[in-house]
Amino acid sequence: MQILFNGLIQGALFALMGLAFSLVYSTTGVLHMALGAIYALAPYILLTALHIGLGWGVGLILAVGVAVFVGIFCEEVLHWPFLRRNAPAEVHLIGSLGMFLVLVQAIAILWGSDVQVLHNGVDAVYGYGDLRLTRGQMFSGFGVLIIIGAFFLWLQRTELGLQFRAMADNPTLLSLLGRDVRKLRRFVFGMSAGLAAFVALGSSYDTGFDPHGGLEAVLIGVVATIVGGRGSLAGAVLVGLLLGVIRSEVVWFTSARWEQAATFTILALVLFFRPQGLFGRTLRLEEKS
Amino acid sequence: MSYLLHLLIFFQIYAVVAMSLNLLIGYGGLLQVAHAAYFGVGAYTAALLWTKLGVGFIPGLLGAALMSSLLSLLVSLSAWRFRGDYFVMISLAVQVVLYSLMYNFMDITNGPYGITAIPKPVIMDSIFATQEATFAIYVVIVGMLAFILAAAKLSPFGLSLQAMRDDELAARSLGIPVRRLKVEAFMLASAMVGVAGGLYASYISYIDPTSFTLDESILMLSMVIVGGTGNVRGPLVGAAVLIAIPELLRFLSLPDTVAAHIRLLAYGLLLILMMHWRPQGLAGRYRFE
Amino acid sequence: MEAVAENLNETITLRATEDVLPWAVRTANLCLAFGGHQVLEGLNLTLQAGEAILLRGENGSGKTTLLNILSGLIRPDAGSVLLHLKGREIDVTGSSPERIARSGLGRLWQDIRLFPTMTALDNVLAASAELLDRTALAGITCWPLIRRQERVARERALHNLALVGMADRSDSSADKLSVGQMKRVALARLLQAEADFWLLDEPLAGLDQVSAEEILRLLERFNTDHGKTMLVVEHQHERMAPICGRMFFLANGHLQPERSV
Repeated sequence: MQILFNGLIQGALFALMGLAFSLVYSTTGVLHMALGAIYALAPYILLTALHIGLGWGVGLILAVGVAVFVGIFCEEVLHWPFLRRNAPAEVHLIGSLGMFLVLVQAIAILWGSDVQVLHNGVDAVYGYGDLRLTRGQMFSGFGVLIIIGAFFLWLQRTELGLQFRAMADNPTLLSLLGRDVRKLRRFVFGMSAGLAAFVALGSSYDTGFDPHGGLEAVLIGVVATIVGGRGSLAGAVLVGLLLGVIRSEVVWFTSARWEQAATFTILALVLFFRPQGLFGRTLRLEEKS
Repeated sequence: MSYLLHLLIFFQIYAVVAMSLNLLIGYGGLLQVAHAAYFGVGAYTAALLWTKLGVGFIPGLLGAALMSSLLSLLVSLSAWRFRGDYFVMISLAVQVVLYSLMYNFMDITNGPYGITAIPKPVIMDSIFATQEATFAIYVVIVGMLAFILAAAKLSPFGLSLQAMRDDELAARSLGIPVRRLKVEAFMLASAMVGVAGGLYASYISYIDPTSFTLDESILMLSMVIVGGTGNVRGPLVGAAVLIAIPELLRFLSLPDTVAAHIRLLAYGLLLILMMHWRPQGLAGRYRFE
Repeated sequence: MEAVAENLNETITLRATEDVLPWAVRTANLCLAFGGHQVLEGLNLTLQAGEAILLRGENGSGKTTLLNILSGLIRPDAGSVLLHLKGREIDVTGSSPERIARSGLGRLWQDIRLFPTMTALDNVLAASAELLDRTALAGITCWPLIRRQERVARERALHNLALVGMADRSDSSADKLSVGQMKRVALARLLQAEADFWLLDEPLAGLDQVSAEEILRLLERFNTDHGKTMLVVEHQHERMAPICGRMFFLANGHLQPERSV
């Protein structure tokens, strides 16, 4: 039961990461590899804020804020200019990989490559019947619930959300209609960065973090997006949740070394039997080219 | 120990890496980020064959080629249908999984401790112990590999590959066997980079998983992108530049740990700059268009 | 695919005597629904060997969909597509585009789709029927043999470029050619691939009077002299009609024959 619960909390964070990655991919078609670097950056900002005595509240806001800034920076410096020149998808991806490398190495230079922690000692643990949850888990769990709830509400109910959905459906049409695609894109990149930052902060509360932690995270985002299905944000969220649970169970029944393999197996199975993802729509052959 | 010879040997190894990746990306349009993983598989296979099974030098290299190409076969047979971005994402998963295999399977790979005391080439009972001897034998081997790659690129196979890269749908409608081309290109490129991995292992005489991460894959991508794609000399320029940059950085006399990060940061920056100003690289022929 | 005799007229005579059935391409009861709407319904079409037919229809009537099914890009919901190849009837329904192409079906795309980074000559060379099966291994090991085959294919490619009047531009990069020139290279590509059944999607689109006339002449020539079976989709039907034997109108998922020319 505890294993399942841990898996659920882990899955909640994965779900949010899946949403963050899928957000950018569904609306702009960009494989936002640099998101992994943004993920890695957030805990370091919080750490520095704590070290210079700004406290947790300000630290958290600062961490998310810097992440959002970097996210928008990626769009301004890479993806918008590339879009303007009608660059193919490869160029966006290579640019993003370059940015990933630059940011991760910058983190390593500024803060060193060693694993860091946000706080020392064991955290407060709460008990509910047979379950034990840490404060970090509570924060993550509730936080994710609220954020995802708010997100989908926003998506369905607001004007901006509507434009957003339109962009996910058909970006070219939207730009032809004259809507301010540029502003929307900035928003998308900023929001996805903010979400990724939250996941990073939630994760790193209980465990250590290093400059390379973002790679795993972005991989989860990628798998959740592919398995969830093309154009399906809810799909990415659900798959993220599932991944968290399955991985926990796998580690429990076998050992930690199979955790990665579990992710990969799920990806392979879905690609084999249902390439459009669990909730995606099939493309006609010409569209595929 | 001549420093120049040391650089030249590295240049040879990376020339093979770059040329093989160019076959995939430049000629085949098959962007992928798992090249360092296949390099690592080759290195580990050769190292294990040499140290644990006492296999000869050349057979060890052949084993490396075989292992890498078989793994790539698994991937390409499953993934050939997929469009560019899915293909890249799958390669990301492959990279991470192969790395975790290298890291976690202690019984085979010795995990993070790596494999030590990898022997120098021993061919027909003569040990190529000196650096000059290593350089000489490597020239021969690398020359053969380069010839193989060039012959493939300039043959009808290479032409079909380029046709597929330019317009996969049009190519298929002319009868060009796209699945076979992708599988073959992958097998050939992986076999080549596997051998390069073996050469690397023997020369350095110690390998561990940290040389085969995603960062390294991006670095290899840099070589090809910066040097130029779609022709034979582009990757050579890229390999040369890759070797040159750390040497130039030496003049800044930075502490060793920081230097490594600055080097990677420089490559990331180069990628971004190239995408902005010269997507066909310094000496390439094919522009991502 | 087997090598075809250099003089294509020769082949036509051969085929005529050994023919049991005079048809080249046939569809039987083709059905396809897309987006909740029946695009094709019980579509039956028979193309006689060596004939050229014109297909008209409103935008969105399913003409391109029909071409896509014939090329193997889309699988029909029901019905079949059959090709008549060397006296044998082959069911190619649901086959991959590669297999259908190797059975002799070629396509001129509406957006032409030449390989933009390659020269005109390389574009045609890439379609060489005899080189399609050359593996990487062959390219590396049997170098001299491959070189010889390549030379033969290259001569054929130059010959085909000459047939379409593009011999002098063989070294031009494909993306530097005019639309008319690109279409001509695309036709040479079909010749090189030894496709006997040609699907032509708006061959006259985007061409000025002179270029359109040139393409028309070429199509007529390839149909009458070389015996290429053609299914042409074209909006400018008045220009196309003279060289086509029959005309059809696609509406409501069915084909309606129109007056023969």
